[in-house]
Parts: sequence; structure tokens; C-alpha cells
Amino acid sequence: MAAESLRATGLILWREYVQRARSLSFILSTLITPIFFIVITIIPPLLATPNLIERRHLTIACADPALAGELRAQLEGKGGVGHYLVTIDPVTTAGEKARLEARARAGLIDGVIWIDDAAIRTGRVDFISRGAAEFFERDYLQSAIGWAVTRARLARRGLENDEINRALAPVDLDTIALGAPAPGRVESSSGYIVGIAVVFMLEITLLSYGLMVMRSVLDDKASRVMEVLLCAATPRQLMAGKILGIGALAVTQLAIWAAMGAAILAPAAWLTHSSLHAMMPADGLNAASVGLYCAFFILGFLLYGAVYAAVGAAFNSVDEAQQWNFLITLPLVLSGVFVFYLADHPGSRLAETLSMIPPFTPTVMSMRVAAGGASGWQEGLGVAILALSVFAMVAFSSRVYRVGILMYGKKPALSEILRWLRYS
Amino acid sequence: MNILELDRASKAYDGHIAVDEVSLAIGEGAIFGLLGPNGAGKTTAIRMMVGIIAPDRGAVRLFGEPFARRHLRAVGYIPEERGLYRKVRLDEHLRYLARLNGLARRDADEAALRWCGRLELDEWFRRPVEELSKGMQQKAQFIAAVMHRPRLLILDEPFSGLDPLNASVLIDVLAELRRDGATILLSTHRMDQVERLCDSICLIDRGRAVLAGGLREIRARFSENWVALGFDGEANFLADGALVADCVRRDGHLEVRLRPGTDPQDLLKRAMASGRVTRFEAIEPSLEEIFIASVGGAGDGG
Repeated sequence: MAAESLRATGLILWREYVQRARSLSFILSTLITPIFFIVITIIPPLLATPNLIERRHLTIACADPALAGELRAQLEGKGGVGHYLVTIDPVTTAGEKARLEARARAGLIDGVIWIDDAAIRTGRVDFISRGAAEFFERDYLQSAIGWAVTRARLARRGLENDEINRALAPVDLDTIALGAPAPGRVESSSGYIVGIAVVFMLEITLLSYGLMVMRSVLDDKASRVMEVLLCAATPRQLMAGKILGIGALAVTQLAIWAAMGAAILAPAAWLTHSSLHAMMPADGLNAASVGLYCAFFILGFLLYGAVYAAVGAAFNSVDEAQQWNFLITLPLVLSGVFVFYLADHPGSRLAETLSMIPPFTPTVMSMRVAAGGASGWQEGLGVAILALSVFAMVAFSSRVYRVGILMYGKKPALSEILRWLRYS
Repeated sequence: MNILELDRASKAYDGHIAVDEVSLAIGEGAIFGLLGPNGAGKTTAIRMMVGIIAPDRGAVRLFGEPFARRHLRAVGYIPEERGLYRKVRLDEHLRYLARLNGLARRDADEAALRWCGRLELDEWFRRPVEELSKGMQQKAQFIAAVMHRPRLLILDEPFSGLDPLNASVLIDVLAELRRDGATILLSTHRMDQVERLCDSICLIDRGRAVLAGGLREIRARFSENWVALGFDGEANFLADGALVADCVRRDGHLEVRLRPGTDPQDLLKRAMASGRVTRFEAIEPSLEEIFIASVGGAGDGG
């Protein structure tokens, strides 16, 4: 009997999987979604980069050759491939200022950075151009000018170049986590980034594929095929096959995306004589963490899949199911809303509490794992709580599913749905 | 052996009794008609037979044993509502259901192809189901129910959407399946088909079985001793109240109702003695008349 049951579930799973895997929508979404994310990741910073297309011609009016030279080096970039073409004017008289303003007004130059002695003392530098400076350009110029002026001030106090370099050397911040996963240095903030990425990936995948389960059940109800199927398979086999088939589709898509990512990074690793592993963020992407993300994804999908299957069975259309859909998605949406706070405070009381509430566990606990804010026993407890809740939800949902899939007509109230639990 | 039995099966939903202690038994190789007005409880009774719902009281037996899901491998079922995956190709839909019913892939393919040829759906074999007409979809549903050679066929309105020609083809197929050893339960409102096909019937009204038994026996029970008499001559014998209870003139003949207990042969002898008899036959009520007489005016709703 068990073998027969597995066979039936397997047939249903395979059908649900193949029917969707070969659909045009799945193929397009699998290929286009990574491209979309790459575009939205790359394009805005590129657009924010000043003078992406053509270099602007600036004049630095400054009597201090060292300061002017340092600023020019910053603006023209290494090897002269920066965003500006810079000329230096050592004259900083009022007349020269008027002449340079006239050239800028005439469009012969794009802007003038006026740094006289007063500017160095007070820190108030003028940037003169025909139009107002763009937001990101202003920021960029301010950073470059500030660096050059600071060096100039230190030089005027008698420091040599070496001393200036030492004084202005960047600081590396090491964070030491006393708690989980093990006391030690956290070398970088990559866990923060990985955690946010994992939360959003889980949120999008659980939502989209959970909804797919619901729509699939609604479609089966609308086509009236359920009664025929129920003579050949039990409601539990039908529900399990559907959830597992669609879950397998989600795993397939994630695996393809991971392979696409590796395919993109592999040539870069080869070119830099590095390895794929070395190119990945150090924190939040070790084998144990990835294993936990997979566990939370699988258990999370089973939990949400069971809920969505019950909702699809209870109602007759997406419109009827809409209000319940809002409640189901709320934990996932809130996880996204609070993700930055949780990433910053992975060990906080809020994070600990939410990570033990089953609808929040997949996302919040994954974030805590990535950010190093969860101890081993908390991770284990999260998995156990989620597994138990999956078991309970499947039992509840299968009873609703069994009755709901044959109910047509008026939209059932919650009290009626709860009565279904007593039907045999 | 009885292939299917309901033993005082009952089912209620939220206080509404859908099926109330219904008992019936279908012998092996029989064609059994399950009749009743809309809302009588036929579909609920059928769902109990195929295990979609469980009875609150009573029992269902299949193939001589208490109901178990493994028995459904030998059952083919057509529900009242047409249930097909519309966006899927016909061959894929049939193959899927056949495999769920236990056939290996190759056998499923072969059976689907053979049956589609038999019921003239071969041109549509690789077309999406939604492109088939209603009648074709009903034939597809029929194929899905019979592909795995079930011993018991439970058919709820199998002729729905079929034109007379296709209905006739289906009737021939049912007769063939019966000759091959299948037992068939037919739930339908088409009395002409029940009269043509069924050996026995059960009539359900408001959840209760109001009539059950062999078709001939039931007809005889309701016959009320009417005789159609074609006669040329003096008909004074018709005034004999000891023999004749009622007489109605019809077009070209008389319909005579005999007193209970009288032998129609007595009427024949009296008629032959009085003139020339051109027609003499017992009139049995149609199943439709029996149906209406049994359920009265509460045929809709309930």
C-alpha cells in the first residue's frame, strides 16, 4: 500500500513539475529574472556615476601646486581614465575668477573649482558651472576636494608626504562576535549583505511558488477534474504531489540561477587566478549556513504550500481567496520590511522572538544565521519548530483540502471551513 | 457475488440528510440503473461507492469485501460534471489518468490510442482537450474511465452532451463491456436508456430508496392490468363490471383496465366470442410513468 501511495504521489508530482517546467512562462522567468536583477543592480550605480558617457572639462584654480596636483589625480583617475579632464590654473585673483566664469558661461569649460588660500583655511570651496551640479557629482567632487584639501592642510603644518600618508591611512574595523556561531573575528560585513539577499530570495520564492500552488488547486477545481482524480488517488496524495511538484520546480529554478551565477563568476575567477569560493562573501555562505538556508527554504515552502493548498481548495476563485492571501503573505512581507533592522540586530529580542514563530522562521532565522546572530541551539530549535508546524499544518490543510475541493457555490465562511475538519 | 453493495448507508451534511439508509446490491455482470429526481441523493450515494466520502452510518462493499481504496483499481468512474484538464493534450490527459489507475506507460498509451479510435477521437488525439466539443469531451471522459479495464463501471449521466448517434455508440460499447464481464451502474435521467440497458433499478427520492428491484418485476407491479384491445363487433362484454374496471377509447383501439385478480385471457375469450380481435396486448407502464408515480410532484429541488 505504501508503495502504491508513493507511486501515485510520484505520478502527480511529476505531472505538476513537467507541465510547468516546459511552459514558456517558466523558461522566460528563469532566464529573464537574473538579467533583471543584474540590470537593476548595475544600471542605477552607473547612472549615478558622474560623466559616464563623456568626460567633463574642469579647471582647478589653485595656487598650491601640490594640492592642485593631488586633486587632479583624484578627478582624472589612475591612467587618466576618470570622469574628468582637468587643467590647472595657478592664478587665483579676482580678475582670473571673472575670466574663468566667462569661459564657463560660454561653454568653453564645464566648471571651475576655485580653491584660494581662504578656501583652504575655511573649508569653503566654490564650484562654478553653467548649471547646478548634479547630486552625485556634488558628492563626488566634495569627497575628492576634501581629500586634497586635508592633505594640503597637513602639509602646511609641516608634515612630510610619508607622515601624511600614515596619518590618512584607512582604518580596518574588525568585529568580534562572542556568541554564535563561534567566538571569533568576523572579517567583513558580507554576512549582512548575504542575509538580506537570502531573505529577499526566500520571500520572493515562497510567495510566488506558494501562490502557484493556490492557483493550481483553484484551476483543478474550476475544471471539475477533482472528482475523477479522487477515484484514482487520495486527497492527501493529490495535495502532496502538487506541493512537492511545484516545490521541485522552485528548487530547479534556484539551481539554474546558482549555475548561471557560477557561470558568470567562473571566468572572472580564472582570469584573476582565484577560485569561485574565494570570490564569494566569506560570511553567511559557508557549507553549514547554506545547508540551513536550504532546510529553511524546504520547510518554509512545505508550510506555505500547505496553507495555500487549503486556501485554494476552500474557495472558488482568486478573488474569493484574496483576503486570506493577504494574511498569509503578511509574515513574509513584514520580514522584508524589517530586514535591515534585523540584519543590524540579529541577536535582538525581536529577532529571537520572530525567528521562533513558524511563519517568520524561514526568513528571520536565515537572516540571523547569515549575520552570525544565532547560536547553534537556536538554529536547531528553529528547524524543529518549523518541522513540527509543517506536520501540523499539513494535517490541518489536508482535511480542508479533502472537503473543499468538492465544494462549489457560495464563498464559505471561516466557521464553515472549520466544520469541514469534522467531516469524514 | 454482488459486485457492489450499499447496506443502509446514510450521509448527512450540517443536519441535512442527503442519503438515508439506502440499501442496494448489484450482481456481477448486471447493468443497474440508479434513478431519482434532482437533489435526491444519487450523487452522494455514488460518491460513497467510490470512496470520495465516507458514510456516516452503514457500509459499502466492493467485490464482496468492505470498501478499501485498493478496490478502486478495478473501478471506472464518470462523475456527473465533466472533469478534464482543459489545457492539456487529450493523449496526455488519458495517459495520466490511466497511469494513476495502475497501467504501465506503454499499456496506457496503447489503450488510449485504441479507445480514441473506437470512439472516433483519433483525429483529436494530440489536441488540447479544450478544443474538443462537449460531446467529444464526454467521450474522452468515458475513455478515461474504461481504459484500465475496470470490473465495475459507475457512470453518472454518461450520455450528457451526446447526440443520439454518439449515445447509441456508447450504448453499444456498454453492451460490449458487459459481455466482457463488466458490471455497470448507470445513473441517468434518460428513461429510454434505462429501459433499453438495465436489468434492475433503484429509485431514490429525498435520500431514501423508494423503489428497487428487477425492471420487469417493477413494471409488472405497476402494470395495473391494462390491455390494448383492437376489436370489430358488439362490445357489450365491456359493460361486465366483474371483468372490466375501466375502458378508454384511443385512436383505433380501446384501452381496457381489468379488475384486480382477473385473467386477461377471460377478456380475450369474451372478445373473440363477440367479434373479431385485431389487437390484444398487455400494456406495461413506462419507466417514466413509474418514476413520476413514485416521486410525485416533488421532482425538483429538495
